[in-house]
Amino acid sequence: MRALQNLDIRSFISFVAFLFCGGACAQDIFTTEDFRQDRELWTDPAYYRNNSADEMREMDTASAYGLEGTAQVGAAELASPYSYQSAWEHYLSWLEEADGGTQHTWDTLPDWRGRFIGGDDRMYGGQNPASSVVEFLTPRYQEYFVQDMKSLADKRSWGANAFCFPGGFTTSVRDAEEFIITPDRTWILGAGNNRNYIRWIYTDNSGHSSEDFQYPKWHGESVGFWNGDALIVHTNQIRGWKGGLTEFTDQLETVERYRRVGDVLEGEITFYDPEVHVKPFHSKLAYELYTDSRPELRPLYNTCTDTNGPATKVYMDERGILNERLPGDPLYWDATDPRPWDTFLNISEERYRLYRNNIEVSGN
Amino acid sequence: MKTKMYKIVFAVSLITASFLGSAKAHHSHSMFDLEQEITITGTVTSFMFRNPHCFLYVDVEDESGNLVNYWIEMAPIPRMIQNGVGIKTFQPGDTVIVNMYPLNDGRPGGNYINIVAADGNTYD
Repeated sequence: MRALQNLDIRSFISFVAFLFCGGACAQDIFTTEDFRQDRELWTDPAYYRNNSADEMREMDTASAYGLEGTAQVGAAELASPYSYQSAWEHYLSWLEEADGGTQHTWDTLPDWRGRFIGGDDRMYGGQNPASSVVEFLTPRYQEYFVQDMKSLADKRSWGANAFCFPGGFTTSVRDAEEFIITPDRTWILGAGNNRNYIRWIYTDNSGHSSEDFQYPKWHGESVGFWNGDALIVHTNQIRGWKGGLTEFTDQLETVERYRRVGDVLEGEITFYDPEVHVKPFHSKLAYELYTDSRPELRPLYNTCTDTNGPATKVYMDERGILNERLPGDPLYWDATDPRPWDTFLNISEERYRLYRNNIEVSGN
Repeated sequence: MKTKMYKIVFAVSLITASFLGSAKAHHSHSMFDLEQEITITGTVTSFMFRNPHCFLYVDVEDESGNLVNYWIEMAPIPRMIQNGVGIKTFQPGDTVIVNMYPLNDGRPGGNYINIVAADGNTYD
């Protein structure tokens, strides 16, 4: 028995649910021993205790663990409002609408000066119930997503931040802060507290790299054009990663559009990754002008390794000479692993199962 | 930063429970016991003012009179600055009171909630 004190709304709802449900509550993501046996429940909001995808992501970083969520079905539309079947078709259609694009000079460029902040929302429809996200995914990526949700429910999730990985393309979009525009090129800069972001967008009609030289890049390769005061961007060659609402593959291509409206840089992004999504995925973007101009809060270069330390693969050996670890060495890291979070989660599931069993056996 | 709390008093005395509010963070805090708060008083040995996280190290005397060095994870630099914390806020030798969520594996350390510094101010 613990004293009743300081309830927030989510706690109150959970408390009431407990009173009426008690021990007869159906199995859910928090209680299941094997989420893969629950496929028929994956699209039921109750399976996630009505938590949104964002609330699930906060589950192991906040003391809201296991509580009822506040997600509303349809909170944000996930499906693209456009009928295009590919990003390039989408981009070319908008280029045609812009009569080949606006050729700006230094005098005609819009004013996008300032530092902008994306706000607290995680974009990409994260306020939807986690179950709604599952419905939007192909079967394989449904399993990957629910595996991710289960790891959050068990407080053993994988995060790029934790291992000093880059955030990847979707994070670079979400965490954009400054848009440096010139007539033939735009730079988008961002500064997280453990990494920095930079994207180059070529509006000089030079186009993408030829196919022979295309390869996945952390922030992709972007080309664009202006339609009046709006910037339209096509990005391909994106390195598949895990970030944003779901993970994405090397096949992801996107179309973005940005326009400044007052003190807000409004935008939208459409994702085309048919291996992951059952239809193109769309999200609105909004970056508000950051008005705190104190010099001590300027963006700066950051590296995660500043507190998490250097890599283990390169080391000083017993001879005092710099050396590298090879496969078979316990501290070797496989750089070719395309989905390191999958490797982590599969090992984590097994270890966690043994850990839980030890608790049950010993009574601790 | 804690969300706003709504205090609700129940007349029913048989069933009681304690819940904590939520706190946002940018990466997993699964290594901390977010359902328990502890308070330590000790002497600062060092303060690392860095990204992605600032860290405070505090010597605390245990029940046997031995000094145990506590590792305390704090927020990123921008948030520290916005809360009034600078590189000189905590100096070696300062006596501080730290409220924190402890590490859930029992090692001496945790994630800070707030710290009462030697100047008497409380820093979130």
